[in-house]
Amino acid sequence: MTDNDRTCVGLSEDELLRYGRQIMTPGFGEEGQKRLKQAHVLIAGVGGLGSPVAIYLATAGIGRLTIIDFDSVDLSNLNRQILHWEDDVGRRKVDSAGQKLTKINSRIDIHPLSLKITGENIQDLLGDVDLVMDCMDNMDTRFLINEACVKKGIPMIHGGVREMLGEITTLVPGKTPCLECLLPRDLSKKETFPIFGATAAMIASLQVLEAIKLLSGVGALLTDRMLFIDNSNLEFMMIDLQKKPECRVCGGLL
Amino acid sequence: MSATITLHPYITGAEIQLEVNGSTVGDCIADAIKTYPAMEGKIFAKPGKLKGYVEIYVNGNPTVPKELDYPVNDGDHINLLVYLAGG
Repeated sequence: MTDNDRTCVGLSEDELLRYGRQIMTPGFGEEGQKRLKQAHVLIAGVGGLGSPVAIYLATAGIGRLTIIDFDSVDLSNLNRQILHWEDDVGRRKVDSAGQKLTKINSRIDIHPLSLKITGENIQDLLGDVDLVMDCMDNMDTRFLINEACVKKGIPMIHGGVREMLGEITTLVPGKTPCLECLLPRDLSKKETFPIFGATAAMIASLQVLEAIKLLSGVGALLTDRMLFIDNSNLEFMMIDLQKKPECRVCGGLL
Repeated sequence: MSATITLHPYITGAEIQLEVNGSTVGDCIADAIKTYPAMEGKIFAKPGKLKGYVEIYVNGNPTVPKELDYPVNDGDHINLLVYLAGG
């Protein structure tokens, strides 16, 4: 599909059939589906969170997906990174993911980029992106993306997981706190973290639902709150978030 | 020494700020555990070893590497954060 196709407002007969069950959702309809088709979403990381995020964004019919990851598939990834299979060990993650995503939905644009997100390239990578899915596995890159998103006014849906714990919030520049309002930038601990695949899948599903709502305008977003889930005892906590007026990144925005 | 400590909602069910006493971060946390005994299991992997998702700041400054041995003075503010970096 070309950019011209993506911006075309119409839906084909195939698309009406393919996405029919979500088009039936009250308030979403064909207009909601067209908005998904016109959208460009960047998925930062195609690991535990990024795999199910990419799958469900592709199946939902997001018109253009850019997937970024510099890593290669390791056997130890396979308990959670469901876009990567045994035969993919050693392959670049974006190649492994791109191949499956194209088979899942050949009617959308998928742009795999095997690179490390840095302070030098992040502004260019954001380009004409409408939304960023934060599926990173480290805080340093999250803070980089957060700052760039604030500068460009691009929403970011943050997800984080560990063990059976998960957290998610939707960050909208100028409206909600940014990531740096919530956490100090110099978080010091870097370690291999324990994780169950189903924990990542749960948070990823919620991230995709937030993306669909944000892009289509349907429903209420998880803004100014963070959902924190402890699956070890199935506790759901909704945490109110406060924008910091003195925030180095977003403090100047209303 | 008397300080205040802010606890992440995951630890206590809601964000809590309370007065604690102690000359180190470890002392102050032990004092907080007297009020909220359940927090011990949520923040310690084993005695003296904090879980990986816990980060402690004193007056906005990171306490690593001393962490539990980090000194606390009268009027200090301790912030005990939980964050999930994995993806």
